[in-house]
Amino acid sequence: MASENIAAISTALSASGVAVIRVSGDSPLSIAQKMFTPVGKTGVADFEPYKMYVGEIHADGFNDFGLCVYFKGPKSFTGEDVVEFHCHGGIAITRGILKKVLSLGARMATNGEFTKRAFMNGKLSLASAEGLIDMINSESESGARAGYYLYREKLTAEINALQDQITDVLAQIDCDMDFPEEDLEETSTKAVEQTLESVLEKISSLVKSYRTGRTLKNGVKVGIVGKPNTGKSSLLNALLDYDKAIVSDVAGTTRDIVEGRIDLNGVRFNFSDTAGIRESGDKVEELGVLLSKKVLDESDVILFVMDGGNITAEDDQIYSMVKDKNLLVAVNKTDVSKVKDDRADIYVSAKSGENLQGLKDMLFEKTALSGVDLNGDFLCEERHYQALKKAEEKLRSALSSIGTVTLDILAIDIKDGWDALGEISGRTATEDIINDIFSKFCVGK
Amino acid sequence: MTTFIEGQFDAVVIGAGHAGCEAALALARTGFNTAMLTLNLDSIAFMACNPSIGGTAKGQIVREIDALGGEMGINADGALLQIRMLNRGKGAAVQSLRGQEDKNYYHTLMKKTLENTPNLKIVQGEAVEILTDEKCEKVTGVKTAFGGILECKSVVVATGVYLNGSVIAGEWKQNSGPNGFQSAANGLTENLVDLGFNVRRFKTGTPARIDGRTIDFNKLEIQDGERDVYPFSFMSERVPQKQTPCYLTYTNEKTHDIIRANLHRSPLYGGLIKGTGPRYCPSIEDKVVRFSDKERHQLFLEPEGADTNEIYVQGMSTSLPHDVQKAMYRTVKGLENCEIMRYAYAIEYDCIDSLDLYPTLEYKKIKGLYTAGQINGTSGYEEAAAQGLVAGLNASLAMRGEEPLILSRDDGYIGVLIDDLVTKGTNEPYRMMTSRAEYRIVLRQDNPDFRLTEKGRKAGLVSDERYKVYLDRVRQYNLATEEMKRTVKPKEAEELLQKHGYAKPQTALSKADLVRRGIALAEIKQEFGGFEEISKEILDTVEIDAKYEGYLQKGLDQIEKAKRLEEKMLPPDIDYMKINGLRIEARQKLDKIRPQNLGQAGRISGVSPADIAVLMVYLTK
Repeated sequence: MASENIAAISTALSASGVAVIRVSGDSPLSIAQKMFTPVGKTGVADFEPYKMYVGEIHADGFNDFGLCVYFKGPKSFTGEDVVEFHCHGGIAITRGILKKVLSLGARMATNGEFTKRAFMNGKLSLASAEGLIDMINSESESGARAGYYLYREKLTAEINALQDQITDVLAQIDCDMDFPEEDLEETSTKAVEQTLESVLEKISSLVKSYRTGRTLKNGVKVGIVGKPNTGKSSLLNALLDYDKAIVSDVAGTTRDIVEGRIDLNGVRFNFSDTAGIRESGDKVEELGVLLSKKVLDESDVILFVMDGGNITAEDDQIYSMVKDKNLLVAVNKTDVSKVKDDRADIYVSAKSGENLQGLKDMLFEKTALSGVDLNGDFLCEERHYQALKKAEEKLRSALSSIGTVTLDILAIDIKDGWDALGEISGRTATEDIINDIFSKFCVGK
Repeated sequence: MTTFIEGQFDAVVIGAGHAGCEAALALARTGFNTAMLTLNLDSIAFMACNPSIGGTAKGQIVREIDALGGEMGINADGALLQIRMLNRGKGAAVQSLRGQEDKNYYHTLMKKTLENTPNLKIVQGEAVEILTDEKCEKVTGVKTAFGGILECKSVVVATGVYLNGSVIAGEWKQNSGPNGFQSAANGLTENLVDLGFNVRRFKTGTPARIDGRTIDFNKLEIQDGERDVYPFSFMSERVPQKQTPCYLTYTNEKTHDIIRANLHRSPLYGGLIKGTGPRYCPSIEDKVVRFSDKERHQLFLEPEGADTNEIYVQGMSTSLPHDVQKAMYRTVKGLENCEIMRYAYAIEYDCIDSLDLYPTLEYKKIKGLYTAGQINGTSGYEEAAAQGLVAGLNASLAMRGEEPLILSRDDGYIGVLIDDLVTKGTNEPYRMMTSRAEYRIVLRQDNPDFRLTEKGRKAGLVSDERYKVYLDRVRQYNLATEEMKRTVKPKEAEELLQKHGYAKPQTALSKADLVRRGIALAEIKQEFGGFEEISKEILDTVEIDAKYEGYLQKGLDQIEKAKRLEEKMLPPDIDYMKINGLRIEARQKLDKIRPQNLGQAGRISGVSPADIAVLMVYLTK
């Protein structure tokens, strides 16, 4: 099957030390031949596969000094011949090199095309492909680990084992129905019950791990609330400043205004701050705005900030609205006032930096991750979570109906549970799932 | 040998077993001049094994054949000795009729029907060659062993177990069809190989028939028939009210000891039998070896007919030598003094690979050539008859230039059967089971006419008389469904609900609501009236439909979803061998079977969901 050469920048398009441009197809090496001059004696055409060669990359209008490596298909990511240029980072350099590659006959890769080719050439299973997206997209260490869990197909193996268990039960019931006069033992409802219970136990623990997995993947959402001028912004800035591993000023997703992110114990914390909106007007209504339901509902932790020198009835009102949430109350401005408050969990000063480490520790403790071994395996894919929930529901319904419904009906619920698991293991892949997966791939991988 | 023209026909059916009969009737009844060629007129519709029709899933098939305008149901009703509904306690989806038949009368009745069918000529003779045009692209006739040539445009091959049949018991083996009938051993297999078929060898077996006068029935558990069930056919009035019983008995350790001591004389273990036998219908020596911890195996004693003493010993088929058979049958309770009238035997026969067929059962390489029944690798009278009907009717439709009749997996068990045969193929004699169907809640035996009669009518096989019966059932069903929606005032429903342990209803409840609460429709009818002039069968269907409503809807949703894959057609010229993402096994299977759509591709064994994903992506390229 003839395969066009496709190319893309495989690393993030930003100022960075090193960047990679990848070309995959029938003849990427012939492109490299026209734009790479190795330092050593070996010409590009004679490049040994899987070996890095140093030399001059001739870009569009400039040269960069970098590396070139050739992966010979089918032993490559896409299963085709692949060439990678490792150049210096930066938007201008990488774009210039890509432009050159394209001018030499390669075509710009579409969304997810590399992965799609890898999949088409049998290099990746569906679950692996999904795990890979998670790894690429995850921004923290733990997130990458959760993705890896999938990538290694561990989840698939677990689900397969569960499906096998259910298959046994179904086979027993079907046998009972298809061979009613064969002097077989009647279906032991006890055995069915036991198997379903054991399967459900495993499914439940996977479902539970989703909360952790999702948190690892998406990060912990912290909503900062408080009336104006309690120092929310300065506290946030202090937290961001305090930790050097900051990714600051990242324009957030469309979902919420992410003011900043920090990494705590390898887990990403996303702060949303809706403060300072209020200027004037009806108080009750503005409180509603201030504590927008969205922030309250979507945050994993609510950080309520009070000004130690100015605790008012307005604080009481806010407190009453958030007190049932997973709440952390910080009294700010200890540099100004040493006043105590019953509701406070911690006293800090954004200005002097007092107790900021303590605040971070407390934030981490407030998450579901506290006390969890983050080296474990966690489910993190929404689709898998939904499938497991569905399987759980069906199997639970089957379990509870044992003895009250006829076998033909019991078998339907059990089979539905099996099918739901199949959405993960791939034993029943539907077109929708596949389309969904491929639309999620990002260029460059 | 001198050849001569035996006659000119539209179609020739080779074989007069359960497949051949339905094929011939489907062709003749739709107006085609048809010849039916059989080795022996006395073996028409012969029940070579069990004297029974139906059973789990098979009962559904009989009712579906009937709904399409086939003959099996009517014939089975006519020769009934006993009828029962199996799986009563296990749910409506898996309930099936099973009838004990008078074997001789079944044959006589079917022969009579065939003989009196216009357009049908029955000829005794052995087919030895299927004639084609020079390019071997389409059928032109059939040649008999006597040199007679039957010219025709369509041929349905339904040779059952007669094709190179050989019968084995112990060290004894001889070329023969079942029951001592002559086998077709004069070159038809070689001819099929020449025509490009992949010919294989399967095996099956049958137990001994013993003299009923030598059985001590007093020692045995009796199993009577049921008089308040409906018959197989919608055209039959009712089941016989006088029925013949069956009896239950068991093997024991003594039986098993004799079998074990003589295993070395078994052709199965000695290597004399090379054909592949079915897993679900093992011989008694197979059961004893494979399930050695089982202390007993159940046996059914079934009457072979009303005017014979022969009793069929279901569950004890064997190919052990006759002296061993005699000894082991006599170890069984009630059979201590039994006299065997016909000994058990195994039979090997040639069959083709059903993957070489289209869903119409037409052979992919030769136009007008169809195969049906055991030659396609199935076992069972019902499976055979269903294929006969589909092959015959499709041959007829093709000659008329009309759309083929292809039943899908949600149309009926017949659809499942044929899709399995042409998509998955089979490596052992194939038997229908309810677990092979994805939508068994939809494919119930109480509603086959609602699923199929319109299709049968369109294809021209459903007679006016049958269609009238169907329309009346539809009318009743609609009336009853309306009545089910009628509500009962809370006050009136109160007493009935409380009697069943429910609280007082807050609002008016429909009769369907009451059914869903587990109250029998008969009771509701008695209490609140309505449903006048609605037959009991229709009431059953309406009740099941109400009770299973949620599950039915889900089944229908799944069917809709599955249809989307069925609608993704695969181009006929697709080169699977060059699609790198497919695993090698999948490439080979797809290349061989060349499925018509993605749904069918997904059901091929050896083609995984990942392969289907690859195909989907390939199709969007």
